[in-house]
Amino acid sequence: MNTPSDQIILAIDREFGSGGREIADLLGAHFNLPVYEKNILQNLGIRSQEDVEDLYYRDESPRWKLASRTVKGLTNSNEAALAAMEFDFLRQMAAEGKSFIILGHCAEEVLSEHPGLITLFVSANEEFKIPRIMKENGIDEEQAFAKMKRHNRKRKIYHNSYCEHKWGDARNYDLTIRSDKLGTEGSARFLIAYIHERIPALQKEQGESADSGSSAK
Amino acid sequence: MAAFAPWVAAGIFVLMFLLIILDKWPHHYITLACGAATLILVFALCLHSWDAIRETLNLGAAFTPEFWHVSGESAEASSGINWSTIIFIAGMMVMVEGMAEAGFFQWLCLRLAKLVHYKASSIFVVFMIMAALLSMFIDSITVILFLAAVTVELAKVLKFNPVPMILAEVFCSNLGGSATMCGDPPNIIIGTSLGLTFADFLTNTGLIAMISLIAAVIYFWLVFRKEYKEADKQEIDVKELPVPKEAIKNQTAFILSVMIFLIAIVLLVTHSNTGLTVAFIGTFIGLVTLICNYKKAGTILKRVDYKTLLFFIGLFVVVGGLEQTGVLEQIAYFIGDISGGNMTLVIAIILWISAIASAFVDNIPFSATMIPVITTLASTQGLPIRPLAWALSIGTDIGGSATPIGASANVVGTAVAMKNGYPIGWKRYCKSAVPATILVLVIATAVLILRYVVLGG
Repeated sequence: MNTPSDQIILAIDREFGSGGREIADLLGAHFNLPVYEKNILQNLGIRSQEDVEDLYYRDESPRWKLASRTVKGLTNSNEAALAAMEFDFLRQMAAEGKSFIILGHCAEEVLSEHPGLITLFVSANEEFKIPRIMKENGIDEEQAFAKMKRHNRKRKIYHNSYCEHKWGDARNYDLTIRSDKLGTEGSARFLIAYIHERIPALQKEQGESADSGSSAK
Repeated sequence: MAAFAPWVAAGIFVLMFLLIILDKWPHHYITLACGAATLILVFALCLHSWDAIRETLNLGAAFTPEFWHVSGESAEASSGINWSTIIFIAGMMVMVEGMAEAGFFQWLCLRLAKLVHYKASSIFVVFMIMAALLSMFIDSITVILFLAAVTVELAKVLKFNPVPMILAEVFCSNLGGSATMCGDPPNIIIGTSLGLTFADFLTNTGLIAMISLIAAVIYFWLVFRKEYKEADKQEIDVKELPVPKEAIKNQTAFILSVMIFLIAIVLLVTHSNTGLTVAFIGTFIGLVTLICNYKKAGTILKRVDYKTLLFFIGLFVVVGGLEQTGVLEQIAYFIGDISGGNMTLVIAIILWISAIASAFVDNIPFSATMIPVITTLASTQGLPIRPLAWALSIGTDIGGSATPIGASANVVGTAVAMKNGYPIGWKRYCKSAVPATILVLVIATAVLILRYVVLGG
């Protein structure tokens, strides 16, 4: 694989309301990396902006089985087709040697073969998540609770329908962190230190991977 | 134990349908597993009937002369595996793969676009008609796979929105498929099971499809004309346009594939006169394609969709279970009771129920299940079988057009559009497809009733 040895890809999965996005932004600012979440839709070659906006709510959504069919590997499900396009986009970015942060989108498994990958999962307790959701969306506690449950269920079904491992299972990530223990900023600082510790080993691994690739040629 | 047999057979059938809808496992695994369950649980354990297993597997059929050549009207044993359908579809798959390998479909699409001077509004109409005509002889999946891809390619250069065109092409492809015995899998199953000929289909469902195609072209033109009229005014960079000749990968293979296609059409159109069965035609066309493309025979054979053929085998066994245990007879009696043997009502019930069911579930298992039902209905109510067969054919073929999951062509069309950055959701799809489907179903109901009830057939 033709990747520079200083490539870093951070795949961060997160519970809704846990501050995963905020942590990703802080890591992105520190390491000077672009952060992809819903904005991944702008990079898939979808022609109309109206369609991109329509697809926002289908992003990271499971395929509705009763409303879709597959014929010769092709499906009418926009959710499944979107997931496939997003996975291809991530693989292409990684193969081109780009460094980036990706939230969700099964990235920890889609890019699992990539030597520059660090996988993280951010969770938090409800006391931490609910007030954040209420503030961010301007809704009451009951609505925030329902919204959190709905989104987490959606993310879990989406993830588990495409991945071999279960969503949030610690065995599937390099590190899982409870953001309520250190707060989002504290968690980000902790993760920055962790990533810095990992970088030399990652670079060595990527160098070996590049060597074996070139000797194979 | 025999008393449980209908319940077990019905249970396996319902389970098979549910598993197909849930789409968790490949469909051919589901039908094969359910077929095996039918053989073991229904025939061996409940009925203790070796004869039922033998009849359902129908293995001896291919070794009889009638399987390949008939002197009069002949029907495949309606119970069990319909090997004629499977062999014919396999042969046509080989032919279509040969044509695709030679670049025939891309060439045809681009050639027609050039003929109408790349005018978006003309391409819109021409591609609708071409989708219908090609689907009369070739499976609609292949037709739409190529047509939708070329539509997207032209849309980029000619700067038009390909979505309405793809929606219209998909609809017309399903409509064209209903016109002939080989256009859509339900038709070939209906035709071989009931001993109907290519000409029978052409003069009945073909007539309905032709009238409906005119109505559908007018309908889609009225709905989408604005988009394409505006695209006509745009300046086109001729250099960017794809050249039809470049689509041809191998000149000799291309000419041979066109000739084989024409021979297939002639054999199908004349099969009632020549006595050649569809099984023979499928085998002959498949073999000729492989011989003519002997260098690429391996590639062509690898591309044949064996999964669909296995899906059919499992399906026929499960439906055979329902038939052998009398479940389908009960459904026929029920339809007979509510219609009171009234021909108009029976036609309307079969056509509209088939259409509504096919809009949401795979029309192949549905039609395979309904054939024994209409056969029983015709014999118990003293009704002619043919109008019921046409109602079933049109209902299953056209009903599937209403939703994105109703027919394979719809799935392929929407998937190709999405892959190229043009998402088509249920709302967008149904908005134009549902009224078009209702329009065609009304035309079909009117034609069938007028012809077989008012004028007496």
